[in-house]
Amino acid sequence: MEIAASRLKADAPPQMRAEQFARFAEARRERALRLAFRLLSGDAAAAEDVVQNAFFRAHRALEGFRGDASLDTWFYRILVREVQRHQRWRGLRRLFAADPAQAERAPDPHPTADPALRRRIGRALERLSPGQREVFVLVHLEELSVAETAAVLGKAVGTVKSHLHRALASLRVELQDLRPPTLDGDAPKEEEEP
Amino acid sequence: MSEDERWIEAVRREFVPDTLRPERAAELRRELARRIAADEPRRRFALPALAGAVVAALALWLAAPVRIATNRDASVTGAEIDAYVDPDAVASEISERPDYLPADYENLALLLDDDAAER
Repeated sequence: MEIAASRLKADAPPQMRAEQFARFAEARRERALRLAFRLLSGDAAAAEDVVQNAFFRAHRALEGFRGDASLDTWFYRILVREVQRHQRWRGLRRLFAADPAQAERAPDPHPTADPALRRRIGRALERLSPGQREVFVLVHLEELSVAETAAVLGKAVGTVKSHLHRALASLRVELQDLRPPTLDGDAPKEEEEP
Repeated sequence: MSEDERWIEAVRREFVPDTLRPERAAELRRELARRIAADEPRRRFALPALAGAVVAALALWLAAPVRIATNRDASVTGAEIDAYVDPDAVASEISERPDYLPADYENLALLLDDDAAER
C-alpha cells in the first residue's frame, strides 16, 4: 500500500495524522524488520527496537520531509542511521547487560529458518566493515539499485561500488558453498555450535 | 546462474527474521502509537515555546544599547584624576581626607601648597 507523502505532510488533525502514520508504518514494518535484522547481522530483538525507534523518529521528522527523495528512501535513510546509532552504543549495552549473549541474541521460540545457517551468515556479515555490510545488504539482499543505495546511505556511487566489491570478495570466501534451497535441494545444514 | 548469484540467492532466502507473530505485531503497533501520542504535546507545545523563548532572548540582546568601554570606566574618575594631571593643583584639593598622604609626604605637600600660594 503506497501512501502519498503529501497526505502525511498535510496539516491534518493529530488524530488523523497518527492514523495515517500508523498505516504508513504497518505497510513497511515487515520489510523494515528484515532490513534491520540483516544490517544487525541477525539480531532479531535489536531489529525490533531499531525499527520502532526509526518509526518514532520518522514521525517526528515528517514535517521536515521536503519530498526531495521518495518517501521510502527517506524512511530507509532514517532506519539505517538508527542501526548505526544502535551499533555505536552496542559495546556499552554489552557492558551493562547481565548476560550479554542473552541480551544480544534471544532465542526465537518459533524459528522458521535454519538457526545455525543464520548464525553462520550473521558472523560472516559481522566481519565486514559497517559500510561494506550496509552496501551488501541493500544492494544484494534488499535489491536496491546502486544509485538508490547511495541515496539511502548518503554516499557517492563510486564509494558504494567500492564497498560492494570488497564485501563480495570477503563473503565469497566464507559463503560460496551455499546453495539456494529451491534450486539445488536443501541448503547445507550447519552443525550446531558447541 | 553464476557462482556468486547462487550463494547470494541462498543468503537472501535464508537470512531473514522469523515471521512476526500477530500478537507481537499488535504489541509493537500499540507501543508505537503510545510513544507517538506521548510525544505529541511536546512536539506541539514544548518545542514552539522553546523556539519562542530563544527568539525573544535574541531580540532582547539585539535591542540592548551597545556599551563601549571608555576611560571613564576606570575606578579613579572626575576631580581626582584631574588633580593628578594639573601641576598647579594643591595637595588639599586632591582629597578631603587628612590621612590621604603618609606623614612624610604631608610635609612635602605643605611645602608645595605654600609654593603654589606664593605664585
